[in-house]
Amino acid sequence: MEHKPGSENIVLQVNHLHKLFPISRGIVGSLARRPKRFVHAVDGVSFCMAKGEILGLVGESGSGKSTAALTILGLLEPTEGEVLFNNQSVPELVHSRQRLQLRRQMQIIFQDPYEALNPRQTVFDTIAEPLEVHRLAASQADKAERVMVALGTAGLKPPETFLERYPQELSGGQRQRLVIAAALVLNPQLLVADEPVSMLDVSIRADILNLLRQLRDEHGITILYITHDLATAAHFTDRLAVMYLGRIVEIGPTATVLHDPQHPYTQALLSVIPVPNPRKRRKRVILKGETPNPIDLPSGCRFHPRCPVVFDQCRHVEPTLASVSPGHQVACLRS
Amino acid sequence: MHIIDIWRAFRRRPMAMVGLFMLLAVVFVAVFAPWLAPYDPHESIDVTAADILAPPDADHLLGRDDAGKDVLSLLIYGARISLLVGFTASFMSIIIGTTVGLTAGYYGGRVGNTLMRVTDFLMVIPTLPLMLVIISVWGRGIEKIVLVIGILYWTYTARLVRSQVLSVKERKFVLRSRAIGTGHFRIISRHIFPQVLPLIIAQAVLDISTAIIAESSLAFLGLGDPTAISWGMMLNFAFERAISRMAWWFLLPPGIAIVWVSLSLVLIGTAIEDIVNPRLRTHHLFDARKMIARVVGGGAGSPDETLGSGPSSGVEAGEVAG
Amino acid sequence: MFLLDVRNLSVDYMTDDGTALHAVDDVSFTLEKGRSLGMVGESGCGKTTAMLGVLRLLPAEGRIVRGDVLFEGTDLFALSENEMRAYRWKHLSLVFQGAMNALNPVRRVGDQIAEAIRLHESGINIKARVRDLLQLVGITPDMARQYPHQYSGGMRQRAMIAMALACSPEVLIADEPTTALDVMVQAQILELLQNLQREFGLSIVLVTHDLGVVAEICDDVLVMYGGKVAEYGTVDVIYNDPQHPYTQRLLQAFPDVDNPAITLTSIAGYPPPLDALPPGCRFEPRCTCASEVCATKSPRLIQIAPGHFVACHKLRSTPYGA
Repeated sequence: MEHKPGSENIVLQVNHLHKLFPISRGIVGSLARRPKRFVHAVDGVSFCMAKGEILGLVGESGSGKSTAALTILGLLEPTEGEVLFNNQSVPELVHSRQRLQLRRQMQIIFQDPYEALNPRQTVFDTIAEPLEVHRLAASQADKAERVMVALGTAGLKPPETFLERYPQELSGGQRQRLVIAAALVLNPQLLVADEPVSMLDVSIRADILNLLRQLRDEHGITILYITHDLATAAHFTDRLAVMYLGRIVEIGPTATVLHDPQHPYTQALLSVIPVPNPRKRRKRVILKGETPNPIDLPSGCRFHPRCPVVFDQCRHVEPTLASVSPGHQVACLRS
Repeated sequence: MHIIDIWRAFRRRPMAMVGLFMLLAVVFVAVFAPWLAPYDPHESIDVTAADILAPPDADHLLGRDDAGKDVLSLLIYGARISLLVGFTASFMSIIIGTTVGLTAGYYGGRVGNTLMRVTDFLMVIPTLPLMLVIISVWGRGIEKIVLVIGILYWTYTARLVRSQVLSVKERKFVLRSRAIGTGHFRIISRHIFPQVLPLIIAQAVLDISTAIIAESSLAFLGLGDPTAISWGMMLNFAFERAISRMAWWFLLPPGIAIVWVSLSLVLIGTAIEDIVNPRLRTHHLFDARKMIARVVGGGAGSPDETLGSGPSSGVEAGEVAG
Repeated sequence: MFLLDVRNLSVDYMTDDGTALHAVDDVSFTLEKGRSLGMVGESGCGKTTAMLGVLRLLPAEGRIVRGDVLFEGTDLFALSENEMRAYRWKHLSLVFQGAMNALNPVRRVGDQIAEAIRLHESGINIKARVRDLLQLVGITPDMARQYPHQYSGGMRQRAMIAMALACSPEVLIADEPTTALDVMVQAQILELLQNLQREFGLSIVLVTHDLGVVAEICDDVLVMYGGKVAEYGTVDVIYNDPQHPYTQRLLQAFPDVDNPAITLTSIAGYPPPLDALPPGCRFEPRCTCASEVCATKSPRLIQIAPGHFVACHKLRSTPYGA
């Protein structure tokens, strides 16, 4: 790996993370002792994140990226593998007294700015809640101060005008900023952003993304950016990890992955993303079919049923991530 | 929805307002009974044979009952009993049902399953026969009746609350709150309960009606409290003693009163239920109301989203983009 | 003669208190056989409303206030509802937004497509037609016997396209057909639409907010803002020589995976609320090069080059050809 595990710089380390969801067999199935089946949502994911970097976790539906994020945050129990945050095991911390401390340092932003907010809470309540839960405010005045600062940092200015409003009175972009402010008020080290802009109008997406980048630049917040939209990830991230059926198939610096993709899936994805340029004629590699369900996985390489350059060995051997150049790794038998 | 929104929507429904006025009339009568009733039914009076089941006349607008008492006064004071039983029994069953539902829904697992099995068990038992048995064995008394009704009628609320909690629990703002580190109690009280409350209110109103009918049934079957003459008891006496004489003035008024109050509560309750449980009233291709709501408004309030873009949004239909 | 000729279409929405919201204001465009038009704009710009207006499928609150829609010379607005029904689906059909989630979950997909055929045509072998249609959109005909939940998202969208093509229309209107789909599936659907266009001369109106998709498969582009046409021309001219400030800014805000180094910009402000429209140009509050006239006078759509129309005051004052 590019980053040396255990070094001071590493904020997050994920090792061989698995998250499986059992499928109910029903009474008949249990009695008949049918074999247990699982949804292999996350099936062997490993990567590191250095302080202050923006890593994009890119994948289509069924790739497991959102499940991975929730497991990393400790909101789901991993089935196997470890998640180390500042060299401490997240699953262990979540069940210990340091639970609250962990929560302070890892925050999440969701895709749907409507659903992420309690419609009964005012803007002030929403941002004050983390402060109250963590008992961070020395007094009411201190609380109000912190809330205003968070609002300002998130770009909701002038902050005083927003305090008593309800989410329904805000636009989508403003709501998303509110969610960001509520996350910021705790001064987290790691921010997981799960599709933060895909439900916002194109003309305001850049604002939110630029805000997130500013948070990294000015406050050193590490950002895990989860999305299906390679195009925004291209503009926004330092490194990219492409996921398919629960595993990372390619990971490396964003520019490298975009210009020199090694995995056939990455290549196909990049070739079909619509670009706003009608004169651009490129060879589109349109894969057949859709991502298979993560229950009955293909043998060997998971991608082999759809791979345009598959050869025989791919059906039997599952490739692992291997370096093709410094910092750039691919899980493909061809490379 | 906020209470004020519910009230506004309520005001627009004629049947709901009719129900409300009907209920307020009964409440008024119950509260001002001592002033409204021409006689005090608790006073003992001298009666002659001619007074027994006397038909209506100028002094007694609804005639007299089998003990010579004024039916109208009995009716007016009866309102107190009915409303008292209705409100307290309903309140009790709502408290029990909500607690069970919240706990079962939020915690799930063994606790939830056990609670739900208990609920199912109670739900399956026919309540009226069970109440009859309990009251017969335990003895009469208005408090006992209230308790019995309260303890047996919470099952529907519990199921309702539990299913609502299950769905609210999965909403993103609850997950976000968990991610912040919020504890269980705060999540339940601040995030889940407010979403469940409107449904509880609707159910509470309907429960009052159920309770009143339950009490009336018990009283009608002879298990009422003889010191608190309710409409049900009036019916009981009327059936036993007045039918042979065709004394309709004793028979009809309590029956009509019970129907009146139940109807009012049902009208109110179903209206609230309808308001807080919005079914989609959308055009099959396009939600004009939603769109209008979104593009109307001043400056910063106007929304600017393209919704539903991105497969991670699940299987939601993309919302209207204009 | 154009296949579809929309002239000065204006649609209002009536709110509860009687005010009229001008959702679509003076929209005109033409569509020729075998060509596709992309209607681009963000939420609330009126593009969906405009197309529902063309098909006369507006919800109860919508009213067509002005304009003509000519299909091969026939004025669709002059037809009775019955006559219009003959045009809908047979000549102009629609895959509406979120259609893939609108399939009836308890009926087989094949039956649903068959129903669409049966409503508009008679005397043909429906089963065979259903199989042909499924094959046309890339679904194995055996899948007709399956239920919607057994189809993937992409397949459901294809099924909706098949349903829309049931009567071999000349024009297909697709409203955000790929918005909720994965990138690869989106590419498959776009490829399908392109093939349909090439092989069968199908004319497509693609309503979307996604500028990339429009660049991919459309020949002409209509950019809408605040209910009005901002710019209209061929895809080449709109993307490489945009004249309207909104078009320019919109393109700058759109990510391009081929040019990741460019900083994305956004457009400050919000789309105008329909109940408080700016008196002059609707984009003026957000426009960085607005002048005095922009705030007071609404610009007319003028042709500045063959086939290139813009509604903006800052252009040359002499329209092309004047």
